[in-house]
Amino acid sequence: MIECKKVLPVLIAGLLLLTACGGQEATLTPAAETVVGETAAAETPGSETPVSETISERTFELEFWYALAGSSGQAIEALVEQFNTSHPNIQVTATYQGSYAQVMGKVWNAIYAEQTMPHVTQLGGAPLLGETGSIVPITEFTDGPNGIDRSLIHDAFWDYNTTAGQIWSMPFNNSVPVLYYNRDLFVAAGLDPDRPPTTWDEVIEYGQKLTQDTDGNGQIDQWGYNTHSDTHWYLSAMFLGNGAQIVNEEQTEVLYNSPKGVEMLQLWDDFVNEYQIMPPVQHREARGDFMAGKSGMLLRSSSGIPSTAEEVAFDLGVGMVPAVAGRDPVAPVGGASLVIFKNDDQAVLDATWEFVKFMTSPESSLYLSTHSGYVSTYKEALEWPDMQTYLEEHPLQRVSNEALEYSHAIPIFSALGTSDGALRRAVESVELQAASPQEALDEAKIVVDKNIAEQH
Amino acid sequence: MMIREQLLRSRWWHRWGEETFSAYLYLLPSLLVFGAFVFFPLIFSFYASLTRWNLPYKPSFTGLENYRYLFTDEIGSRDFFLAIRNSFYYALGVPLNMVISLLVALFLNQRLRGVGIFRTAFFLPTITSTVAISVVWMWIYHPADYGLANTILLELGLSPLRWLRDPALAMPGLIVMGIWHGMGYNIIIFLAGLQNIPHHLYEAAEIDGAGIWAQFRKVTWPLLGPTTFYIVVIGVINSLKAFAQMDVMTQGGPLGATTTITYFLYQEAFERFTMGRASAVACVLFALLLLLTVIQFKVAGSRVHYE
Repeated sequence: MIECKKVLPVLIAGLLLLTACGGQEATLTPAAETVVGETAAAETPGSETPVSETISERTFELEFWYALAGSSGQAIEALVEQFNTSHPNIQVTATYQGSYAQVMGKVWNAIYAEQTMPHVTQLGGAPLLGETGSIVPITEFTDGPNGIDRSLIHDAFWDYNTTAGQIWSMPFNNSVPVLYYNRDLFVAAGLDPDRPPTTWDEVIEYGQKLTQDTDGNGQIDQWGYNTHSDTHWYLSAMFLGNGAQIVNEEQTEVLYNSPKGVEMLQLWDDFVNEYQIMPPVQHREARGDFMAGKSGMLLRSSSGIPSTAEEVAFDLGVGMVPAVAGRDPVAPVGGASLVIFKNDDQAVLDATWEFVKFMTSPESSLYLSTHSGYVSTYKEALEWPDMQTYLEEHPLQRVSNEALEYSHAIPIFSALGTSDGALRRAVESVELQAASPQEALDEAKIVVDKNIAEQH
Repeated sequence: MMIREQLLRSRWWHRWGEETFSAYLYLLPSLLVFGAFVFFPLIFSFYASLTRWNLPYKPSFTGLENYRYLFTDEIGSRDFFLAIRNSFYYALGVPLNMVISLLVALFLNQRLRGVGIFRTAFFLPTITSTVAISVVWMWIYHPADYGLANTILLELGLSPLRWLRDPALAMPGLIVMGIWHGMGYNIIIFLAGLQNIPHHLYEAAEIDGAGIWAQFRKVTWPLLGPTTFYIVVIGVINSLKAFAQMDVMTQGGPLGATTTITYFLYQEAFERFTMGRASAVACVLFALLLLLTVIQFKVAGSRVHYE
């Protein structure tokens, strides 16, 4: 068993390297598949390390809080099970603690009440915990003797876990916004279902063809385009895609009322009021409308792809987040990360890291991304033979993984919650024509800057 | 030893001590729970309202700064007063609800065939969770022409409305749903009140030549006083506390039209993470409810007749 432990990771690494060279991958695929498949359940890569020897002399019981239900939650449970089986001396108890917001609330409560913390928790907005002094910066482990090569993971995910230059948490389950579209409606509108729009101009063009009054009663009942209810995320994608900055370097003020930012909210305004391809303030119904075949395109997180594909009666398509003409698209990453809480016992921390390292290893990343709508955080994921097989069988998942080439992190700053709310309000204002895009974003900036100034 | 025996023999202990002691003993479990989950949070939240407490930073004492923000700050007071206004707007549903519930209760109080079925039907929404009801009503209020309410409007030859997505209609929409949801409870209370009115009073009134309206005005309404009063007090408190429907259906929108005090509190605490301010909002809400209840007792005290 010990020999196995040492040989297999090397084998995998070797195979990955070979496949990465391209060309020969076709012949190597079957062999690599079986090896990765068998080992995914039982192995952490690079465990030929000194640290695991010191922790292997003791037994540990760790507590892990997570925040995903449904198939994603089952995938997490399965990974924990794999870890417990392969690490007899470290037993992890995983408990579902509700949504990201609920878990964050529980963690904060525990911090202020000075209760016993879990050892490791899955958190959205994780790096904000860094300022509480209750978590260990993840770089102490990633860059330590039992560390990992951080360059294997997309930069955007590290940025997503950074505040003020410090990486605090470990990227775990991540998603990007993608454009869901109804292939049947595309065909009916005379559009090519294999060619979803790639620019906002095309979204308007396609949207106008898809927006219809299907029953002829004078009311539009099939909309061309809509976004899910977290409008701040999609507006941020547009800001970044147009080269607008969200917050300044020092994170002392937000900058989205710049001309490039206003241009994007103007575009959003035009979707509703100029081209009328999107209904005003109908984002909470958007997902249901799309699933019912009442709208042609929906911008939404990639994490919903598997469940949507299962539930809809029509032929589903998934496209990249649209770009501003002449620019690359920008896919702002979302999702959650793993944080390790401080502990006086270094061995407990090392054992916890062993678990985090397992959960975020290429094998686990492959497992999670092939059992949920989340993307793999690894740059080479698309070249893994198992991933290629999976994507051939599940072509809808391909785009979100390919989109990582354009992944970006919305800067994490302490007034982010206020900012999200202010942006949603700005969107609502322009959709209802209660304010011009400039006025709406000026107002948002005043509210958010005030909140930033109050933080310290 | 001496003291204990003296105490046990004393008349005080005999008359008060033993009973009081056992009474407190019986109350203890409930007092502990009440203290831990009601009194302590109440006091703590008052303390928190005097601090600047922006998560993830630790709280620091700022005196009345949060209250100053809510009442005089340009952004703060604008949002807060709008929230108070919205809450009272929502509370307009209480008298409406009362009138409708009373009418239904009067009808259900008749000895008719199948009245039991109606009593059950009216009570059903009340025992259904607000969140579940909200989801169903979102479908009724769907802004497209295939929403249930709009389908009916179109059938009647009227043009569809955007309901919850229209700043002017969102609150009335929530009020209507609130009445439908809360009616069942009021009806049951009114029915109990109606059945407590001795039948001979109606007989006497009838002999005196009182018609149905006069009977209602002179017998039913005065004797229902305590019931009506209870329903109004509880109704006002509940409507000022309403939260789930705003959270599920409108998220306080559109354009803040349904941001009530409780939803504003939620936004301060869990969207902007300003816990001190959120606590100040909670304290103002507490004071407001207390004041309203006192006023209601004062006003009603002279008018409500207990038998």
